[in-house]
Amino acid sequence: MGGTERVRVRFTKISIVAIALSAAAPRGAAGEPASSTATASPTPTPTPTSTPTPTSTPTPTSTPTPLPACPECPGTDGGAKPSETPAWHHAYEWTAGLGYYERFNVGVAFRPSPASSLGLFGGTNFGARDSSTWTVGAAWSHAFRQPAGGLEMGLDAKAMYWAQSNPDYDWKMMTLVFGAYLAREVRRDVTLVLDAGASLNFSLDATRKQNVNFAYPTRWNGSFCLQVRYRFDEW
Amino acid sequence: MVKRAFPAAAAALLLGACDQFTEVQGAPVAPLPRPIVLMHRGAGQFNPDYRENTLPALLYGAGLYDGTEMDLQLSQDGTIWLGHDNEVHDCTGPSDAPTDGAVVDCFQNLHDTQIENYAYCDASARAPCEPLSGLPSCHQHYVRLEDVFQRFSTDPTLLQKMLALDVKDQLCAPIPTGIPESRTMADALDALVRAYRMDFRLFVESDQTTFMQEFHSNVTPTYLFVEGYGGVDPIISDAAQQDATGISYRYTNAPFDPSLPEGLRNRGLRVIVWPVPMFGGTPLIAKVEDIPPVWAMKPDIILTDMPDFYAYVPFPKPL
Repeated sequence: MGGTERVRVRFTKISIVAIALSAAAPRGAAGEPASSTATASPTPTPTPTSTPTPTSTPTPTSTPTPLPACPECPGTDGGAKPSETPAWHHAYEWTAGLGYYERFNVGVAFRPSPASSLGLFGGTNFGARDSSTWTVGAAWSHAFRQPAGGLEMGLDAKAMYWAQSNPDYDWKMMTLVFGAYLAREVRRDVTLVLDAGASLNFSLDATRKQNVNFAYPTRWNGSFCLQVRYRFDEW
Repeated sequence: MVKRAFPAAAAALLLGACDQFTEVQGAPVAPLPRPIVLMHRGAGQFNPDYRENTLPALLYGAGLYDGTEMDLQLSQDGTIWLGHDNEVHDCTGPSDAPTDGAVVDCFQNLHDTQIENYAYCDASARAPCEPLSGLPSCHQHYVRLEDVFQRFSTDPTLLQKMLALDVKDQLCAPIPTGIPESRTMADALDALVRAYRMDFRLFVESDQTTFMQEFHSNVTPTYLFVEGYGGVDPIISDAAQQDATGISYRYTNAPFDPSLPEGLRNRGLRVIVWPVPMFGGTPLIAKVEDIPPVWAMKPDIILTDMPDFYAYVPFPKPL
């Protein structure tokens, strides 16, 4: 609780500095999108002196209004500098990673905001015939906290269809993962993400190829995935 | 705090991630000298001489083979009755009456005193209701499981007979989960098994998780089989997870392959197949050609509707 209050205080100070910078610089020059700057820092209006002011009406002051909090913007938190505020609101990313159910996977993700992401991916274990596994899936994530140090935490969910062939069975499976992730921006456009969660697994179809070994999907299991995201387009 | 908690949780999940598939691993069980044969639904589903799930039918079926099978329902009073359908049908009147076989209500909505007034029949057993001279075929009233246990635990000719009990889902409640009824059914069955000392003379078949959990909780001294109507593998999965004695499945849902029952026994699961043979077509014809390959599979228990099942079993015939 105390940490949150401290963050708010710092943010207010930073906002005041940002307003001062944006007033001095052309629109968009402080790393903020032009539309965002225009909305967030209205020009102070002096009180008209010729108009009698009713006693009950508060007099507008010329104090700059602080920028509204932007919880979706990484870098506006915990001592971050205004220049770290992303210069984008939407982006596309390539993703690549290794996961327990995702296997070696690549995909693409759309970020409708800096805090959320919707992605599609496909994965494989590079095996063939009786040792092959491939996965296709969709992922959603949303940041809920951005502590200091360039870290980001959030919730994520995935739905995967995967098929596996082994000497005993051919499986067609569905896996739903509900979990959390920890992300760290290693470069301006590259992010490393580790997610972990609980997976719910069920078989859509199974072909047993022998009558010696019998198995069934582990209904509830752990799941994890390490992923790199590269932001290749933003606006 | 959070910075420590998240990696810790992630590490726990990493370490806690089990295999994506769980192997069925039970202690092997020995094959029986020959399959146990039980008459399906008392005296067979399509037997014109006996109403299924009635006491005369059970006595007839048990006299032919190693025992007999019956279906179980639960009344509003918590009493287990024999019946295939959830509904009680009224077959008290003449079989040609327009109301013959009309649904009265579900077992779970009726009191015992109401159920005992009706003659047994259900959707599949209405047709053979013509009374035959000298045979107690028609207008046999619904029977309690307690009456069956009382007879099979006291009649010296029946003391060696086995009984299979098909526990039916009770699905007539406004929100038909069947969960509380399953629990009540398991408790009522446990009480009857202990009261009439039917220990290990019963093969209880169920597909209800709640029933099986309560059954285990009660440590009911009988054999539990997981029943299923689709493919074999989901039944195997459930049986392994429920620590059941074995699986009970429609034999046409898996290829005739002797290595299947053998493989399951090697993993600690026994096998019931039913009904052998299947009936189909119009008029109903039994696929008796299925009997030899099913027999060759050596399942542990076979349920049949045919009174001359052994006539189709290849040499050597059972004694």
